[in-house]
Amino acid sequence: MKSIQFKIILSILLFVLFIIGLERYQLSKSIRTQFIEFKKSKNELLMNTIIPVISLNLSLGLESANDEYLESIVTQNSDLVYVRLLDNNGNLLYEFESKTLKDIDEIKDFNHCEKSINDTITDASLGVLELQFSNSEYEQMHSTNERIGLQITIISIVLLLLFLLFLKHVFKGLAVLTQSVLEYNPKENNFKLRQSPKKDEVSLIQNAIVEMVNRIAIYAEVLDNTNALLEEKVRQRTLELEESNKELKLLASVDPLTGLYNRRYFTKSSEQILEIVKRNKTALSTIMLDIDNFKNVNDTYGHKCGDDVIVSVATIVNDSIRKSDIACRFGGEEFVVLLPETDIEGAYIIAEKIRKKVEEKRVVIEGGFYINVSVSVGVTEYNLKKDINFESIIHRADRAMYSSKESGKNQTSVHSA
Amino acid sequence: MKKFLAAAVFSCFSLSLFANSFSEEMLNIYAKLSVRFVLMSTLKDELSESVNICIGSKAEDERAATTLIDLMHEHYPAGIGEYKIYVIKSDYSNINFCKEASLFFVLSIEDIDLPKVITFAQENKILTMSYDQVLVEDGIDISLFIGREIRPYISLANIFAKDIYLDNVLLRVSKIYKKQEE
Repeated sequence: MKSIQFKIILSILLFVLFIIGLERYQLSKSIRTQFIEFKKSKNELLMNTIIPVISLNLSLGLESANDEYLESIVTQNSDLVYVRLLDNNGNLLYEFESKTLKDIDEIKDFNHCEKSINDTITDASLGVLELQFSNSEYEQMHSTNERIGLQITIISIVLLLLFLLFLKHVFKGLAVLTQSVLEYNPKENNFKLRQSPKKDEVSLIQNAIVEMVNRIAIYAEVLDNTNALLEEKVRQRTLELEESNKELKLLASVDPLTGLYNRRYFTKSSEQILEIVKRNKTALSTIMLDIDNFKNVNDTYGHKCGDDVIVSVATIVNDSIRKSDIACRFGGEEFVVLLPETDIEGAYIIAEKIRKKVEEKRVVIEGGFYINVSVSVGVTEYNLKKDINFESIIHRADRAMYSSKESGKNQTSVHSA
Repeated sequence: MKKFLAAAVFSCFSLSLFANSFSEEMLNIYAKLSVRFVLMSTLKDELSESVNICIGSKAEDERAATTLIDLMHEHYPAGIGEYKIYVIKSDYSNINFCKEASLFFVLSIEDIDLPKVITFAQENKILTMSYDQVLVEDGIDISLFIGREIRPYISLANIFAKDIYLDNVLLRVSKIYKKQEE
């Protein structure tokens, strides 16, 4: 785990342990130094108290008094474990050795005092006094110090563990919050946590996130509704577009007045049919017809009446041919019919059929009146050897139709290939 | 017990030559101690260049007095510190010779002479010391107390009456005499 939480905890742990260790070391050192200084001072004080008396007794020649005096000193100072008084010549005048004393040479430390005794008047050397105090107090102090150090260390570790548990508890909320944020899906609105009444930092962050999640839920709902509306609009627009496309496509291939194919569609379709006829070597005939005296109709009855005449003729043409045949409005009052797999005789029959129906048709105009119109028709047949393209067929049909016009109109002419 | 026996031996080992019984060991101690008493008192401030000591004794103890003088010179052949030591013998009829002394040592004395010595010492601001410790109870300033151990025996009242004061350490090692009524 390399998280900031771990680094913070580790740093605090090391810092606290370092501080405790340093404090304990300094305190222990200070206590030891102060204790030694205190003992030295105490020992020195005792020595300075004893020496003048010893000195006086020696100078007065009352050596025996020193025995009594030193014994009283030993009795009064229970920490004295060794006393030795030597005269100027090194002769032993007094010696005391406690049962608890170890080898005197091994324990000459800060508890050991040795001082020469001088005559207060003549300053002559009278002897040497040697005192050794017990180390038990120091050892006791040292032991106590170590025990306290151990206790503090244990308490520190326990407190640190509690602190770690506390930190873990504190960061647990953060972990739960993080997990909840990671698992949060705005579409499902599955955020588990709710507003917390606590005022700690994690709770404040949690409350802020809960507030944010609530807003996201509101905006998500609005967004869903908007999306649904948009999808519906798109669907409608698509339908409308498809309808428009159909209409547009229809408009692109159908004459809007008559409902027959227009010239552009006819030209494109005729080329395709011509290719099929060439490949299959089947018959193909074409009929071209034009309304006679149509200019007079327009001039006499108006364009509205002219349109009605065109629609009537187109209806007759459309009703007179097969589904496999293609009829189109080729010009203003000019129509062309393409008859696949039909020879010229068959085409002539159909042409005459159309002409007669037009002749018989009474076209009703405004005011309840009616008029009669006629058509001049030209028929021709596709010639495999001569016709390179469809224009030559149209051209022959056109010549046949004009031949009918020139021959008196309302008749059908055939132009063989 | 050991010290007590030693003191007893010292006491029994008396100088048979003297009329009175004087322990040589005790004389030796007195010889060493008497000079120092002067130097450990406020009399030291009044000394010029020597410590003068007068030894009073009965006529029959003159030899012991001489021995005491010899012992003093033996202990301090060149004086003590910066001071020379002058010791003279005196009988109690001529104690005026001891006016310049700092210490009057009563080696032996008749009861009748004691008040004279005490008055003389009082008037001349002289410390008095006796071989016999009982004399402390009779007005002598200093002696040696012989009990389980040998210690200086001091009558502070007598000494203070002469406006003399002793070193504190000396007082610590000494046995202080107190009158019964005190």
